[in-house]
Amino acid sequence: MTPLAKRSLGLLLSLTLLAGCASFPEAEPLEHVDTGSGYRYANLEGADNSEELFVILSFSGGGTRAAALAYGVLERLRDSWVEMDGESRNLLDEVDIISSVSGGSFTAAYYGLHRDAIFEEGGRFQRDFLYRDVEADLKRRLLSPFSWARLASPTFGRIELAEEVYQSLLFDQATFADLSDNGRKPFLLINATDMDKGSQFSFVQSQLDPMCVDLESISLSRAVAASSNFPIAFTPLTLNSYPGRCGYVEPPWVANALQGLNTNPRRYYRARHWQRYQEPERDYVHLLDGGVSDNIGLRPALDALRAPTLQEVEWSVLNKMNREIVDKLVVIVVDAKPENPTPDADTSPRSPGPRQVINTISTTPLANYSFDTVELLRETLRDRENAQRLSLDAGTGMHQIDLYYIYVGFDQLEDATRRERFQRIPTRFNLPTEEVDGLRQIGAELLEQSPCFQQLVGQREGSGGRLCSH
Amino acid sequence: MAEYLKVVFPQRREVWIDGEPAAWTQSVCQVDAGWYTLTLAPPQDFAPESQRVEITDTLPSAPLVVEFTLKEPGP
Repeated sequence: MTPLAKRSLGLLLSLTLLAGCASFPEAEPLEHVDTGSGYRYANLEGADNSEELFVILSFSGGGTRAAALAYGVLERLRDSWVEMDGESRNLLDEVDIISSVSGGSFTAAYYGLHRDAIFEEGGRFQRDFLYRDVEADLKRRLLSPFSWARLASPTFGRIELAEEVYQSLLFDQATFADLSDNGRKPFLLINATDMDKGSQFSFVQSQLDPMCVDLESISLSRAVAASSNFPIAFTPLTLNSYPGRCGYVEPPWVANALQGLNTNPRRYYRARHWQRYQEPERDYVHLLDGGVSDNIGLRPALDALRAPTLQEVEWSVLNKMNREIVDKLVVIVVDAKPENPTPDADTSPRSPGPRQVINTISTTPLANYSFDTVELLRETLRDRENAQRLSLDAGTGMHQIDLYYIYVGFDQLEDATRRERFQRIPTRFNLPTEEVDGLRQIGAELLEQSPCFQQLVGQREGSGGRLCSH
Repeated sequence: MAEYLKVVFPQRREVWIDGEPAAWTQSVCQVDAGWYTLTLAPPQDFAPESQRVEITDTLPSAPLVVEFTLKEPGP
């Protein structure tokens, strides 16, 4: 054998070994369920964040467009103050929940981990994510021969390469244990989609309890990769599951919900999905982009406004309303929704091409579902306001809560040229500096201009259980 | 679907739904439609011990009313 042939054979053997060894990082099993530990809402301290004022933020998907818009909203909240009981409180410190999807999850996770360091001008988040060509990093990683060998393994996919990129750029070795150790709100809901159930999958310990998985062994970069795991571009992300190995006891709400297929099918199916995580043969869960099941990240908030117990939704805001803990509820929806994918199609008799058709079928159902989700939230809050008023008139003693619904989206821009400029920014992980600057500015501006936001920060007294919706 | 429940008891006491604190007696609370197991916070001086109810077709002005009574102290 010639020296060249020997070297080639050696290289081939090395690559084969590498491929054989390559696999996704395994999540560790949970020895036993302990509600007093792990990344759970109840385990975060609320010392400087009162639940009397309960603030929920939702960050939509949409690549860097969504991340930068959410960033602008955080910047504005950082500079805003609200009066509660004669005390001035910083609004960003009062945020209890951030629920995010896809591009929005980068901003949410980095803020949850590093808090105000996210705002450092020229700092890591700006330099290595918002203003960076992350797509080039992803392509470089994909084109490396080292990656090809690993991609030959059936348990190592393109999503693992993406996770490595996000780890090196933003999150290092941080896991959910770091968020638990941090111990402060906001409680992050980084949302992906469970392929098998078609339902939302949030990276919180209560979601992983029936799977007997220790969330603290999972890296933040992996959760963010799952949340932004755009189908086809990346491979589904696999999580281990160890059902039946941690003494998990099904909470009472599940059996009750399973009695109500006709009374409350939504609750019934949530219970059915919950049970499926406990099925002994399900040793893996496969995750896709959170946007596939809810591209606006609002479904968890809707669940928290419906479920009356903390066993059903661990941060149930309805439970806190019924127990008279919450006096003021603020929901801020940050929606980086783009324009219609075929805005000029109707100006020509020519049939739109395959690319436009694919664009339409891949984005329109998500956009329509997001629209309905936002409307459902608004109706839910409106119903609560009406219920409070009726109860007040009837003297039945329902707790009166001031309700604020604030929507930050490009369609709130009155100027058509500006509106279209932002709506036409593509969903990418590489945007020009002026676009990122513009998105940050518009996020802050749209929040600032919201009449309900102005009412929230300008008000000294409660509004007597009214809903402000704008 | 939002439904409404009022638990009546001679004292103000926490109402437990499915085994956890979830509301207060004498006040209307909001729940999701469906089946629930209701009881009160300790002390165990009330009857019955628990009640399983289906909450549906209620209004804030006409909630499902569930009553617990104070037990007579034993001899």
